[in-house]
Amino acid sequence: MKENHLFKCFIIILICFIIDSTISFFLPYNYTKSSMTIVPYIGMMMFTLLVKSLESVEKYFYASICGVYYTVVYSNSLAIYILIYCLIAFVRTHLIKIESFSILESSIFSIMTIFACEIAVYWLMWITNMTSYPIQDFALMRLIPTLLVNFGLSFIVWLVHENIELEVKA
Amino acid sequence: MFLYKERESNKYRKRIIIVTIVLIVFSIITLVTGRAPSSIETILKDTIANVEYYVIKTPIQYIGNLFSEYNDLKDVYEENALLKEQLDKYAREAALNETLSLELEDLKELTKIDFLPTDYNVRYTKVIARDVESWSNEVTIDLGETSGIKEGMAVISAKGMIGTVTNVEKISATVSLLSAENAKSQIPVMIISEGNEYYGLLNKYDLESKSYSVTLLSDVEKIEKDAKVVTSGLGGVGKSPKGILIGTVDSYTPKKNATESVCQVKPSVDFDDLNYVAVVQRVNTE
Repeated sequence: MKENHLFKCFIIILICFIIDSTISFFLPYNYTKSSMTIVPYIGMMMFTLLVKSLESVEKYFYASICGVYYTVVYSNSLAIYILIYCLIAFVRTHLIKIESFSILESSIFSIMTIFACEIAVYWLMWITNMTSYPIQDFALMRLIPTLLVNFGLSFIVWLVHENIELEVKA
Repeated sequence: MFLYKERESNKYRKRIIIVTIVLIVFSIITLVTGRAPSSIETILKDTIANVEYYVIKTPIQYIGNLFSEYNDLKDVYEENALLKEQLDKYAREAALNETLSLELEDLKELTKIDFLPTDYNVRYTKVIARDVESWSNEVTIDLGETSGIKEGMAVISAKGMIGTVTNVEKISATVSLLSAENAKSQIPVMIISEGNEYYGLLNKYDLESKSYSVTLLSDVEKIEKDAKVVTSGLGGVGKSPKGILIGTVDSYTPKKNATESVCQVKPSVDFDDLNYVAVVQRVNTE
């Protein structure tokens, strides 16, 4: 039963990652970093909601598998996503102990997670000399638009999660 | 029965803990050492990219194209008139091209040269994936080892060179764009200014000036603005051929030492519009 639930969680996150990839494929390209960049984080937002429903050991297993999958398939950067997903699982379990989020709580938590993730990846890119993207440009052209778009998407993610949860309980 | 179940559950927990620890250690090692992706990772990535492209993205793209084609119908009349005008010019250019090609073949035969550095074939392809997080300047194309693609080959769009192939799998390949701030390799280029040819190396793309940085290999006093920058074909066998447009000179600041003289080159291509590209296969004997 437990394994079945874990498997369902994997399938859901897989679908969310595919949606992320499809959205970014159809968004305008911005390789020269001269215009706005929006990164969809539907997978990560769904992860923050699903991770609470798992048992303590499974949470970190789930987080590391999600991180590995995202790093290998979608991200060409460093393998920091494994640590980021494990950290989200830790925060969601030990620091924010609310059993289930309301729509607003979910959106705020998702945005804070995305904010932390974007900053961590930018910092990593900066210290490894992978980018010289100025911080003000990063904030205005990438961070703020990404947060705003994902704030809108977080409501849809919460509604979808509620429906999935009801189906699992039934 | 209860003990058996508990033992099984413990085994399951142990397995999960071991896998989790291994993955976290793998992540830390990768972060510290900056390890390149293994072949298994690349195969997995390319397989998923292909499946996603053909199962999900292509149908969506097809529907999107239907709508845009319907909208484009309104402009067909004006476009047709313009194309007819250009067709006359094209016929003239094609005839000239044919004459020059024949002359070139005759000269090759006379001098007993089989291939010129400018000889190449192109294989048209499309971009099937790019990284979701938009940090690296890499795209995946749906041509690979089975189509004769090799590392180092140049990739072009309609307006010039966009990058080089940096990783090849069976049915797909990774292209590193010239817009990368941290280029994986330097590209040998040639600047044609006032009838002279100057050689240099394209190092990286500068975000601030929105241009390429080209280090010159010889002392040059002056390079005219808007001088054409093309590939020099000196990269070696299988690399980019000679004469592929890269951009035009934007500015040049000569220094005492030639290697410190940097030329800023404005890209000829629009990196924000890369759906269809072509891989350039240099023709040579080896």
